[in-house]
Amino acid sequence: MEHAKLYERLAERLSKLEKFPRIKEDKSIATLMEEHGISRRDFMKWAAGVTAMLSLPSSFTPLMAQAAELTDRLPVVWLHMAECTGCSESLLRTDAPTIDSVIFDYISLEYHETIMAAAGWQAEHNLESAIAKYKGKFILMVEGGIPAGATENYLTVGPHGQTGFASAKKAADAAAAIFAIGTCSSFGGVQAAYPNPSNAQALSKVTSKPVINVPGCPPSEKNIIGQVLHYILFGTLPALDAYNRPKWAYGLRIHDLCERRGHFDAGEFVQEFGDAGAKKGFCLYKVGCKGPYTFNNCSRERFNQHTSWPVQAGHGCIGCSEPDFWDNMGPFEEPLGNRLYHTVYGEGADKTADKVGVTLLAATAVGIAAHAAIAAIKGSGKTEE
Amino acid sequence: MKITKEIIERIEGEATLELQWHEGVIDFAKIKFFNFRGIEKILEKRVLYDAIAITPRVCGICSHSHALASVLAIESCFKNAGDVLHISQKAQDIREIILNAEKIQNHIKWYFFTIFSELQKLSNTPFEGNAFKDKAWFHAQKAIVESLKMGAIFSGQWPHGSFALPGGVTCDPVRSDFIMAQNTLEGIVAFCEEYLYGMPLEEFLSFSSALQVMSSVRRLSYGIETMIELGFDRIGRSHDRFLALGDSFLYEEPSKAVKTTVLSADSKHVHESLEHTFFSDTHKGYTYSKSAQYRKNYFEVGPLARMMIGKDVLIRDFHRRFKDATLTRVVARMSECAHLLLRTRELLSHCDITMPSFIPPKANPHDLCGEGIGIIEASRGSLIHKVNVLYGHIHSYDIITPTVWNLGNGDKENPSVAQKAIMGLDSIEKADFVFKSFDVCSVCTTQ
Repeated sequence: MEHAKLYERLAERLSKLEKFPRIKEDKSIATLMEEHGISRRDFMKWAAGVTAMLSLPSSFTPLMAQAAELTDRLPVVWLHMAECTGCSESLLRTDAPTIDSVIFDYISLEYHETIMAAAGWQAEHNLESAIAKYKGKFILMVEGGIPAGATENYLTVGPHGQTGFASAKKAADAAAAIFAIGTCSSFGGVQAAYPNPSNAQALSKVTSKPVINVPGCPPSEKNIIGQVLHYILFGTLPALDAYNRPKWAYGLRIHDLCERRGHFDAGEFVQEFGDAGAKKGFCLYKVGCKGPYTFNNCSRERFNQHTSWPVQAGHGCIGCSEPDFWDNMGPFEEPLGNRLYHTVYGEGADKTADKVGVTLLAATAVGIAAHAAIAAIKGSGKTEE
Repeated sequence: MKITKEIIERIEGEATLELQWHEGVIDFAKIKFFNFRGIEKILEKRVLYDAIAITPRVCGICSHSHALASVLAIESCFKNAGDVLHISQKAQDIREIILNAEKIQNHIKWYFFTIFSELQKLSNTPFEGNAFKDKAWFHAQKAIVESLKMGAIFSGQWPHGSFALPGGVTCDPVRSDFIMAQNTLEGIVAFCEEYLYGMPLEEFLSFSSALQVMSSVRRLSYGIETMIELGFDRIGRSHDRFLALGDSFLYEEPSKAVKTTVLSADSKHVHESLEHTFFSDTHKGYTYSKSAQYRKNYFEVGPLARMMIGKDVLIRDFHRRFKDATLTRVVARMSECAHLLLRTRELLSHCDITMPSFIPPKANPHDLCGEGIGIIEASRGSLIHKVNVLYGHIHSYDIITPTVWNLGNGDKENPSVAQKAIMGLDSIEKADFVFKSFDVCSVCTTQ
């Protein structure tokens, strides 16, 4: 679609959305920003950043700002399942740039165990009434894997001891859009690692509705808020990959935009942690970086206010936004292509690739390994001389 | 006898308090956590180093403490197998900076988002307890973000960074990284001085009397005043026994303290119990959280324990006046925050970047056999990781989290730390606040 047409379509959608009532009548997002000392200028800068992240032209920035102000038309219910609360930490109170969290706090309904004001019985009541009141209108965000089957009671919530499975299912049935936040609710998470003692499952196994996965352990806060804004702008599901991840965030591999990519191409590798190559910031493939097999935008967006990310801190990517990374990507300090000995998760790269069911992965693994091997003879040897 | 059930929210995860009442007073409390993931079981048979990536995911708020504890446990495996690893001073400093960043953000978050808002709610102001309505929230939020940013300069991300390995740290920061970190730290210090302590850090840390702290009109003294008004200077007292098994700059060696008597302690006396859990008895058990004891006694861990063992003059004065009441526990944590800020400032300015970040172990980790233990003083207290390794694979892994020490379940005759603090109270609101003063995290407690 041409940009002008798309712009028109989105503007139309936003003006329709504007007619809906606010979830809280007393205050608009704009006043809230002002109260918190966020200037219009900062807000517009932020909007421009999000526009770029969603791969939209910069002329769409005013639309994005408008969309952010209209987030108060679409309430959010956030549920916790079996997890570590790291995703909430990532988004709500910690590395989120404050604008994201101001917006998010405002639009989120009274059910977020970690921060909500009400407690206990009152909280349960709030959740139920929110689901009833906004039936078919709210965005459901779920954090954490969901114990299912015989071990369903490994997670119960609220005063009635409802299982996590039941409460997630109930909320999903009434939601307008469902986002699985983090690798746990997207794919089960570390608790689903072999032998999966609690039989933790992905959110998509609990409901038959489409679930948009925003994986990562933790996912970047940009991806979470970006997904909300995308939904407000377009009102439809974004383009998704095979694992239901939005392509605007998970379309490229970590490796594609990695700051150490030049060293990979030049065949300059860290051979061992602490060596001269490590000091020079060479490629971490040979010490286990899974960037070539991992689809995410960490290398572009980074974490904690764009401060850094694991590869910048000298440790390879562990592939935390891929399904079953806990079983397929380890050992995390050794290249995938080299894995020959027996581990709990099987043997060698080919077998792993079989299990994942993606032939692409095997081809990449072999290709990357071959490149690394050849480069070791040609490139690294030279640089070390 | 009346039994009531109270769900505790606005903590990490969710907890349930089952209170048994006798003549209007809480006679006994059962602390229940209904979530279980089985992380220890998952670690079995895995490659040893997998623990460094998997254990941080036990907890989203102290993930770097878990990462460091697992690294220390593996390093002690190497040591027991005859390969003593040399960790450069630089690597040790960077590890501590990262750990301090995590503790600083935790303490600020806990005070501004839990304690402060609870106090406002309790003191009958027309306030619903939503911290986000408070102006100071925005500034506190910013300080927390900055604190994590400072840590992330070295750790790559927070939570769940992969920055440490047996032998050192993976990052190789340059001078400008340290300058950026120092700059960020000064922002946090400025926030704390302005909004929390109401005076320069040095002045606050030079105090030796509780009265001096209360003289300034800021958030901390407001909290102290309110707690005294509400009677929290007399309630929430526990066993008055403290334990800190990990290393810290606050004291010389791992110790225990009974009242003010400090004696050295050894982790070999730690005993983990499955009593009252679903694991020991599926019918009579009522929680997924284990409990931990030292020589068959319950000990409190956390900032108050560290400050008592470190013989901190100010906290000792609070202890002299109020014993280990809720008030002392809260002040100890906020006072530790000041110590951490100064300590981090010192580390950032003195770190020698010419040293190596990482010195690889000589032995091959895939051949490693034996046992190892790693102990870290995390935000909430001593965190213990024990690993038993067989030819580079994990045979068994045991995690004892700080909250297991404080929030375990004992009997009426020998109650755990939090149970003892709650018993004898006359209202649910008080029990809720006393419980929260231990900085509750359910995800760690059960993992």
